[in-house]
Amino acid sequence: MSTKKTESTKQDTPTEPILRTEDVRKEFGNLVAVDGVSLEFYDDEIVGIIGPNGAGKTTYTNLISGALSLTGGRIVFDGDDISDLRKYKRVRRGLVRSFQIPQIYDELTVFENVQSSVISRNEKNNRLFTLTSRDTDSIDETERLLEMFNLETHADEHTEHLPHGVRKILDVAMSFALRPKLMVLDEPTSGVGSREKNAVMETITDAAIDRNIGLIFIEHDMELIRNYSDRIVALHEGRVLADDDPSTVMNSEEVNQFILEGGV
Amino acid sequence: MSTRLPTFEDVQIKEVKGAILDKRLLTGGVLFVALALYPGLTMNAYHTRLLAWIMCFAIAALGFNVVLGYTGLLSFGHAAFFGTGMYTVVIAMQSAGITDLIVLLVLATLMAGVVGAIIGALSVKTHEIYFALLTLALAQLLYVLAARDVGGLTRGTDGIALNRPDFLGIPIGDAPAHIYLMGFYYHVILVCLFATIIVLWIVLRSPFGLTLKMIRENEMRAEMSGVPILRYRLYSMILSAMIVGLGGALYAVVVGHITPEYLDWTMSGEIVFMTLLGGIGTFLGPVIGAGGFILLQEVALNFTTYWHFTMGLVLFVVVLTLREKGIWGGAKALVDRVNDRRDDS
Repeated sequence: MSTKKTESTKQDTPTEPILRTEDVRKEFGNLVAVDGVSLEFYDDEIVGIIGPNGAGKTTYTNLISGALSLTGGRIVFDGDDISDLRKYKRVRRGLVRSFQIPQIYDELTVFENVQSSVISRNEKNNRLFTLTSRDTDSIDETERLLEMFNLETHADEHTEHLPHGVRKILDVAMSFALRPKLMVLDEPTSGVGSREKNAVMETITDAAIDRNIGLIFIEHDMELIRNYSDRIVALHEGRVLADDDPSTVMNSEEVNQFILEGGV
Repeated sequence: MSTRLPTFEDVQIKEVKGAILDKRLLTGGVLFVALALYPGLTMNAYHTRLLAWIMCFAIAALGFNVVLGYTGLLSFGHAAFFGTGMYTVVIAMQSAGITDLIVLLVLATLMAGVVGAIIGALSVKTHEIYFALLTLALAQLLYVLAARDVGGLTRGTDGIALNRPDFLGIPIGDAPAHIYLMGFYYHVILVCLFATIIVLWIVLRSPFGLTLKMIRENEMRAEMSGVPILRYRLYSMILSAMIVGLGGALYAVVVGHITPEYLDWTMSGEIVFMTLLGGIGTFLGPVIGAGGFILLQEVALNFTTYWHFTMGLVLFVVVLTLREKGIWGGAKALVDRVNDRRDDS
């Protein structure tokens, strides 16, 4: 009886958010970049963040990842206050971000790039006297990840000469290797050819849904936002302008006035 | 969960890899035996001394390359670790009365590690030129302390003469200098060099080694993969300092007289020079660099008193043409190219 009841309540009211920012502020001198943003994100949704340049999108994601410190407010991740937590500790808890420009290790092979993430997630970095080439656990997992992201053919290549689209996918594969609970993506398709954009987005969203990972992504391409978001947050001058399902946000008068017509 | 069966190709690759490893082990073994027999067969004290000298610096350069080649940090303070290794040996002998070589080497390695931890802790937060200058400044501080004889341990710029240590309770320190070197001490250095190579080869291919490469390649990414990068840079400094300290400790007995010069920045410069010459992007480059540097210096000294000029010219050409590959990487690339051509024809 009781289990049924909890199940039904689970369906009615959403579960605890994986990430909650409470009245988050960031000031640079006199400039208020993020002005009291309170939002909630869940691990079963894909949220697109839009807004004109200078709206505070990137600053907001930097606050979440810990690259910038808060001026005010609070960040709660997976039930714990992480406002003062160091960057790498947030990552270890499952809060992972990716960057606009792929951040990969150029002098290492594709395989080593992904394996390094697997090893870091297992916190095995301090192993001195085992060879990575004999570490079957991380090798097996790396092989599975490469297969999942269709990177097997590149496994032994150094990443320097990979096409941009492949570099993007590698970056994402490395982030997935960290087994995040929530991923924050800063323009996941920037620099990718328009034909490839959908393929990249599909790879990311499929993997996220498959593994129950929440996604937050910043994007300028409104079509991608419309196609892939479950919810859209519109930021303007550091404040939340709208936070709703895609059609409502896209049709909102304010959003149209400040963002869509502003020529982002 | 696709655990694919090894295909024919995999097996082939494994076999080929095994053969290469065997070939490496074989070459290493032959080289070790040849070097071990050299003093006894030639009875050439000058060559033995030169080789001992080269091997001490090869160890130091290998240790230095952990920081430069594998972690991507240019330290200009490694003389501090080299000198600490040297001074630990001589002070432990003179002031504490320790005469056993093994105890002295272990002590020197640990002391260098401690100094590495201190200099590292103060400098790993900085980058590039700031890191280079900060390590330089901290090392110079040690130089000044030794030169001014602060604490009365170093006897200032006069330096301290060193007795020959004993081994496992056997008082072989009393043997004449050239017999001590050719019959015993040279072989200790040789074993230390090969042990350093083997240990480093494993460590740099371990998850720890991969973590250092992550930091070298992309610090931000490493941090965003959950790596506490400052801590690992510090570990890298400590490991590097210990190996450089071992090289210094071994060298102390070869020169027999320790002065603050070995803590001076020119010493750091020489270690950087050797490593660059051999190739920072290669594993064994530093060994080749140490050999090349010392032999070049010997040859140049015979022809001209302006040997610094000759050295500068060589480094200039090597760095300009071969870059991070150095002599060793350049030679390997050349061999590969010749082999390719042979396969084509």
